[in-house]
Amino acid sequence: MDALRPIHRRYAITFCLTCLAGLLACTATHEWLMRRAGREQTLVDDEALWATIRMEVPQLSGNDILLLGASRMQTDLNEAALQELLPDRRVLNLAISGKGSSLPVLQDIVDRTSFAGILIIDETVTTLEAGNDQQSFVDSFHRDFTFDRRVNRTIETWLQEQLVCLGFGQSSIRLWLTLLSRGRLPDPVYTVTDADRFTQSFFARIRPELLAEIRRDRLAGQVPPTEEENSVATAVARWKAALEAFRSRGGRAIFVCMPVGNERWILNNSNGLAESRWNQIMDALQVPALNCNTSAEAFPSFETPDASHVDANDTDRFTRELVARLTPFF
Amino acid sequence: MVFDSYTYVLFLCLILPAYYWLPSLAGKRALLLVGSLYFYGAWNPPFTLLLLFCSLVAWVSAELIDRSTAPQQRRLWLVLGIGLNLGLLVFYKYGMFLWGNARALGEATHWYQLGVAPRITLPVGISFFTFQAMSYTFDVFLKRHGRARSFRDFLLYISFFPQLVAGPIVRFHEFSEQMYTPKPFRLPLAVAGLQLIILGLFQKVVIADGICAEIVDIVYDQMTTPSTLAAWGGTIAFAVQIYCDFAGYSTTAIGTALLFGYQLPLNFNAPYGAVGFSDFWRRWHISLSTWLRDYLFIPLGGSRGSQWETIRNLMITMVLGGLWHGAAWTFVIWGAMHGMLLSAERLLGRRSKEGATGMVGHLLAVITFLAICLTWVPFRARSFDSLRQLLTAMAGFSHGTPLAMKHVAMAIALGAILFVVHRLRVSGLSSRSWSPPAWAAGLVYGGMLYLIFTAASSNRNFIYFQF
Repeated sequence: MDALRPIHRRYAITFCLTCLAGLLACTATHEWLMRRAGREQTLVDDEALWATIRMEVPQLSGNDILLLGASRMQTDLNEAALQELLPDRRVLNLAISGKGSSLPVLQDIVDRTSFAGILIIDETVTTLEAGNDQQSFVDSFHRDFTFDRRVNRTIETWLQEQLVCLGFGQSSIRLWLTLLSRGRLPDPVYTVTDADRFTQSFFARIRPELLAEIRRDRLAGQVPPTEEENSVATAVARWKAALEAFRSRGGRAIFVCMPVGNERWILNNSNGLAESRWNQIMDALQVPALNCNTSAEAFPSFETPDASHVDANDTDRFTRELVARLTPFF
Repeated sequence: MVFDSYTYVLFLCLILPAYYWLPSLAGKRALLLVGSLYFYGAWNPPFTLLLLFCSLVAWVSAELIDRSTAPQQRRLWLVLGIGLNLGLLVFYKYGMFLWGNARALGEATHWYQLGVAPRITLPVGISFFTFQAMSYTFDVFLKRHGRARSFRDFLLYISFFPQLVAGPIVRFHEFSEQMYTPKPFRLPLAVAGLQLIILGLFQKVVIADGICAEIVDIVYDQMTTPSTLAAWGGTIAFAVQIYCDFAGYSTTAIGTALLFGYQLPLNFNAPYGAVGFSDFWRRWHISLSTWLRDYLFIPLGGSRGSQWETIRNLMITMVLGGLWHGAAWTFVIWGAMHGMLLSAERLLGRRSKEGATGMVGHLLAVITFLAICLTWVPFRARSFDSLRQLLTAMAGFSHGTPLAMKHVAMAIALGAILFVVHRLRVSGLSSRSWSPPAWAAGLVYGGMLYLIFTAASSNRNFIYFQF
């Protein structure tokens, strides 16, 4: 409560002016350091940003497309290419990075909207069979995304689009702790997310040894699915009701298994179950499906530098390939 | 609405000029009331009705108590008023917990079967505003102060937005007189408020969320079995995090209130510099501990009876105090641990050693701080398994996952800095007469503001919002 000591008017004015000057000087220095190092604006992709996109779903027509899934659906597609290839359709990205199965989002779309357009759903065998993590985003949208949150996220988005230092991974704490402890700027954030939640991964920005470490860590955790008697039935039971409800009102759902790269796919599918079980589930669900990892043409040529995601320089080509393959199902 | 949001800045920028533009006090009070209800409704509009209902219950019961002359009738209105507000708190906060336990009991004994607990959304700040409402009813019953002049003014007391969702828990007499004193704009007072807001947000956004949360989350959420150093590092980081989170909120609340010409009571007074546990509770969450003392511990008999009766009263108070923090058995354990520590202190005849000076005082303060850190383990642990693993690790019986040295060093450094700062304040060694020149203070606060603005962590609510 030291601040409660009596202070004079002149003191108060000087304090306010220097406080403002300090804020501006520090922010400008931070911004300058970041821009000089080639960093660019990227949005913090949180529940509120997801909710801003979710809020637009009721405005979609039967011609439009909703993308569901996890990080690969968010990072592998190129928004500009999509707009060029599908000029008459709106495409919204509701994929959630790091949150596995998109079933909770599908359920939400089915139960609480009348959307009857095209759903492109990115799932793997593992996420088809289990996972409910995306429910927290759905709950947050319905429970917390009030007018106040909307306004707050709009301001945040605008500021993050203007200033590099407010973007994901550019925090002042990270900057100064790294500068003080290592004498250099923090490693650059290699992903760039825009207000539509499309993300691009620029792997060339990562130090090669760090990228190798990321790749090694990711590959180290890869195991093929195990033999389980009821796994196909479990997966079908999980998805069937929501898909049938969606299709009964005229919606079309297409499942995609996005490319993970040859090395990882070999590990994932070393016993053949990742491929065969995915096919069995898709057959049982009777949905159009495309597994980019097993497709004989085109897709195996998309290598994933981090053993999971397509590089930003390849997303344009990948998007064109994918759209060409999926268009017959629209 | 939360303090660390852009909309809150926008809200202040709109309401503050309007507040000082209004010439009459009644107009200012009306604006504050509307602003406060909007502030609360911004989170979940329907729950504003709950806030109104809770206030109405306390207001009507106090009116009836005050008008009644027969003691039995007064007591009846008291029981009804307190019962209804307590019932609201129990339903919203403990409904799912009680249901879950009843269900588990039914399954264990095979006497009955209950379905899955219905989902109940916890209204933000319910523990705070129901406690304020109950204190008003109690105080009118005990004739500690008179009734509020009008329901509108009473509603402002309950819903005053700076302290509405996470305290401090203000007593009516601390607030009522301020409502009727003139509030001309005073720049120095506004600057003092601004400084407190920056200080509070710095504690919350930069220290609690930006630095400590990551370390705490690694140890408490990601590690199955932490090493001894990791467990201590994570726990000390949590001690710093919860202090900076909660004291940060209180400081911001006090600063915001000051912008509008209101003074709220101090809620934290260098708690980690305390010597002994009773001293700690005179410094930690002061508005809650005095509430529990006045409305629970003393009515139970306080320390007027035998030693054992006092210990019983202490244990009841602390266990219920623990439960106030959250509907989980881990909070009960946390409260019981504090009850036992306070009882042991009393039995050993070592009440309040805050007068201890020199090395003995510092040593006792270190022991108190480490014991307080130990009690934070059940407070933060996600489950009993996690609690057991952490306590085992802290006792030195674990060779589990180590924590990165940078995190250990950061946690210990922050814990040590906070401890030293609090010790200096408790022992009166920090100079209160030194005042930096305006430009230097301005630059420091400007730097803090920059760190708040660019800390960019994920959205984390204030920990005490869940209480």
